[in-house]
Amino acid sequence: MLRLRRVTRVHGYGAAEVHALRGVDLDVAMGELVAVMGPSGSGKSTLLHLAGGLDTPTAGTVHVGRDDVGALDAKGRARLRRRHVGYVFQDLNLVPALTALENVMLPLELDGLSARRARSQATAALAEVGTDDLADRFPDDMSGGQAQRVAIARALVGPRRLVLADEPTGALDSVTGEAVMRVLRARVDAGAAGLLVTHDARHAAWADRIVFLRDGLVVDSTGADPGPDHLLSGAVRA
Amino acid sequence: MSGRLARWRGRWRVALRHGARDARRHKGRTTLVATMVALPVLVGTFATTALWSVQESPERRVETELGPRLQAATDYAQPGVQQSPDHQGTMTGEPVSVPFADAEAAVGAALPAGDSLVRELRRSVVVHGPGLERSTTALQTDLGDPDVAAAFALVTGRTPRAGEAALSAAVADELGVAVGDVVAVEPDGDVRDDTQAGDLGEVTISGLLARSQPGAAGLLYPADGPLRPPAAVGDAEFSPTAVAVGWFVSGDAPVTWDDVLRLNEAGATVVSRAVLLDPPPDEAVPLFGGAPQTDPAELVRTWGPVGAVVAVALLEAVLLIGPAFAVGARRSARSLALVAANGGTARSLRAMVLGTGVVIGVGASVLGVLLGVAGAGALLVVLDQSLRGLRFLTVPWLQVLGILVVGVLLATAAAWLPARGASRADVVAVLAGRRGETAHRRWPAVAGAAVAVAGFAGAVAAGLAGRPLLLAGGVVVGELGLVLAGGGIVALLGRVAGRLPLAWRFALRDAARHRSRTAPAVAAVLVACAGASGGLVYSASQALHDYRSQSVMAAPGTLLVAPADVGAPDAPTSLEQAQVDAVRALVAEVAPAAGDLRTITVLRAPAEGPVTTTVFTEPAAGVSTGFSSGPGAVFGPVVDDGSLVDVLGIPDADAARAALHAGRAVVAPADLWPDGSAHLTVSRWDREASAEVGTARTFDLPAVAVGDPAGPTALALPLVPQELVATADAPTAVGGLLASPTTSLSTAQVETLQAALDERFGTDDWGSCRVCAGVAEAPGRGDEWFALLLIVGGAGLLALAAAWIATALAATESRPDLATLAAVGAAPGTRKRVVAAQAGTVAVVGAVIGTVSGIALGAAFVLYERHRYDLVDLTWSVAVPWPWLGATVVVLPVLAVTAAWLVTRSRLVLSRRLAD
Repeated sequence: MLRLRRVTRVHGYGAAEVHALRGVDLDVAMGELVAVMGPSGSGKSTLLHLAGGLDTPTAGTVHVGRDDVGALDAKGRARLRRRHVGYVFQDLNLVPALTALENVMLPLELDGLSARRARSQATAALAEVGTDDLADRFPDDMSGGQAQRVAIARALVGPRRLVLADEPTGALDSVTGEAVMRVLRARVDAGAAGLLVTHDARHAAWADRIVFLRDGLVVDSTGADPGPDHLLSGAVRA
Repeated sequence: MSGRLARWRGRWRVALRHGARDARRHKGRTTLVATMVALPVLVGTFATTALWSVQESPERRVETELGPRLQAATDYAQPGVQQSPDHQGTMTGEPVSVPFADAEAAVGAALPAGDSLVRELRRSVVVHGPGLERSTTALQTDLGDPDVAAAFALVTGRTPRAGEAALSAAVADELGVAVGDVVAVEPDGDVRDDTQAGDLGEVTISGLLARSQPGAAGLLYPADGPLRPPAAVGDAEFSPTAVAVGWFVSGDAPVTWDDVLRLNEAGATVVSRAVLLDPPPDEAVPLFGGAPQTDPAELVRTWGPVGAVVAVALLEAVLLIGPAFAVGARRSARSLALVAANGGTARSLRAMVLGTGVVIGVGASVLGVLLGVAGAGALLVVLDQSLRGLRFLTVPWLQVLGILVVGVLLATAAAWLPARGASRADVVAVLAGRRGETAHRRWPAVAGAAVAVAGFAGAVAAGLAGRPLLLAGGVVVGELGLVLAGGGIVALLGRVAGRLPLAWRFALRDAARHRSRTAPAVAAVLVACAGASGGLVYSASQALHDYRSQSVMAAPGTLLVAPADVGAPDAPTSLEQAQVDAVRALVAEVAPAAGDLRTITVLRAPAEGPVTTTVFTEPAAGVSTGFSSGPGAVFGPVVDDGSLVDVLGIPDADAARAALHAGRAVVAPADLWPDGSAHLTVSRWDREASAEVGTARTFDLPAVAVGDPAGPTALALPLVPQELVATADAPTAVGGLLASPTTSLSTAQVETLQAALDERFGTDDWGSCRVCAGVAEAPGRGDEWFALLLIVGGAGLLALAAAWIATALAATESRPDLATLAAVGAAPGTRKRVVAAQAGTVAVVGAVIGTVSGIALGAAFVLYERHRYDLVDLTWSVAVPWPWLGATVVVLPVLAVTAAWLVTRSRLVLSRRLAD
């Protein structure tokens, strides 16, 4: 579903030049949840932005499905996000002026789907994350966990199958965070692909694979189905 | 449905939904924006509706003048009369007397088949109530004709029968009479037709007439009422008290324009239902003689500058509202970034911000329209003193719809720049909690400066050339250019801020970095100040124009008595000795304190019957100056040895006296020829034949010019010394008398003297004096300070509002930076200084540039007035009220800085370095 090959991203130029990513390779398959860990400034968020087409690589290629993100123009990348990629951020994920249902309908409506069909699909997406009772609530009237679950519903509504989550539990207490991770895991198990950026090893443990970034380089990764016992590799310990 | 249209619909569905919710969530901001949008819509709707409601529309004229069924109403004028289709313009030839019966027969014969005439007679009458009397128009007609009866709407009671009359409800209210009461009626004014001699008897009121009636009837008699038709019609000397005759046209056949032309030939002018509702083309109207009735150039001349002012006002509104949307867009930055992350394109984000503008614009405009219509209705009721006024409420829906659309566009345009900025924000930066402003481009500032220079230069050039459309265009383009250049100017100031104190350096750099929010606020202050200083320049120039347009009759307080230039064949043009003595006696009797009366000798010959002999100067320069005169004015040339210079109020008195002593004439600047002479012409004029008699004779005199070429004009000029009069063999006569009272005469004394003069010398047909008395006054200078204060006050409030909005926004956005300053040890007062400097930055930049550009703006309009017509109007010249402009430039920023200083708290609220 997601394939990055020798992806490099350089911000600024001259003396202010910063290499956020340096030749990163990464694959995320359907039904797979990959966690990305690393210290601040290691390039995690840049990786996520490139994966969703919010940013474009300086070098290398990013493929979402069959689409080469770097070859798409701004409209093409926006279409990619409407149809294939959903984001879940740490907090303030929802548009405060729209209800939960309208937030989930957002990408569908922007893509030209009729209001009736968008509502129907959004209602189904809310039901899949167990928040269909929140449909008419505004974000200000929801708890953090509820809002994150609605955000996951939006990330995977309609035809979208790749969810990019940037510290989705960072603003939540541990119990609520666990609940959100459970929902995310369940959606991936149902066939979606997921890329999760986190600092928290407990949440990374929900992933099938963990990739470690430092200074824009992949310095280590665990194999498939690592389990909590294999969370940290020797390279990281060193 | 799929594809682009579906996405467009989806985009706007989301945008409008978000806009509606956003407007509801931020009620304060919404109220502010809605007020600014609703206000111009309200004013526009109110003005349009009120104008349409008080305007005589064809439909209303048909309703009031013809009732529900009458085909036409006619007035007898004379055979061959010409008229406009709406009956507002008529032209008659030489009076022709026609026996009434013949006239009636001729008009009847010209009617379309199937229609019939119903005679109506009208005259002015006085109705006597208990202790009160009231003038009104009595109309007598056959109320047995149902079409005629239906045309006279009654408020109460019934149609009058023999011995009865219906009285206007308004007149009845004033007289305190009601249905069933008896009132006495008598003819009003001189009775010139002996058929109406004596009073018209008493009459019982059968009903009360509604406000508007055919023939403006205030008293309605049935056919057997007391009015009698005159024996002959068509040659009656105009008199409001004579009996007027006319006919209503009753029947089924419409009176077409061809019928109207036939009726004109027969002597009647016509108000026709069919013609009013469907007028003929101008070329089918003989009265117009093929000349177009609407001059597009004149329309442009009249409305061009008005359009420019409205456009600049709307621009100001857009700029004032803009920062409010900028605040909203900034606070929604995170939401917009989320929409982008979910597949929203730049268009989607633009639509999200514009959606708020559209929602508020529609709501506020609808509210403005409703309030405007309600206000116009209330005005009509107040004017009419009863709810019947609402009957005439005419809402021009098409125009009102246009105003509503302008209101929506106003809000949408105000949201456009913030929307554009939001759509170009760096989504990744915003999601990461940083500000997402993209780099600013330089070309708008350069292009804006070029456009501003070109626009204002064009406006001045158009003003000089008297081209109003170009003038208006230049003004609008110039202001738009300055608005466009606003960001660049702020950026430029940011670069040179290095040597300023911390607060001002911070404020200028902050303004330069965030110029997308600073520029609209600067532009709003700029436009307000430009409008104010333009208005100040125009207002001061107009005050000067008004002053120059007046004339000097004599030194203030001087009593003048002189023949009026009435033009009647038997009116005196000068005073003979007996008349002079008579005037002296009258003045001595009525105003003994006036002192000795001196005669004024003028170059003029006593009238010989209808033939007058006058002497006038040939102007050397084709320029236009002001001219106005009051009663008693004595017009030059005056014969003087220098002793009248002071009492006649001649400017440059010493130079004038010296010239007269040296044997030279004293003239106005426009009358002095390049060779130092004045050209005088002696002309004889037959007032009866309206033709010159013989050939005019011209003679030249050595002369000196005194006074300002632009005015005020001294009416007594030119002054001619006696020796030159003798040399030129010019006729002389007494042109009037003057006295210099030690105490000024009271109005009552002057009126009493005038009454005595009227008694002695008579009046013309209209009651105007033939020999008039007046007291000279100094040319007045209007109290312009109030108008100037209004202009400065209004613009100042707008500018302060703009500065306040921008400062509040800047202060909010600068919190993280101020927190950093506090963290490194800045004193608590630093925050107050920074915010005050931010206000000062916006106010100073806007006020200085706006005031300077406003001077050009005002000058362009003044130059337009000066060159509007073929002759240059010297009374218009650019007057710059420097103290007021200086006050604008200094006081406004001081107020802005002080207000910001006072309302800002020193304590800083801790802030996360995250976008809202």
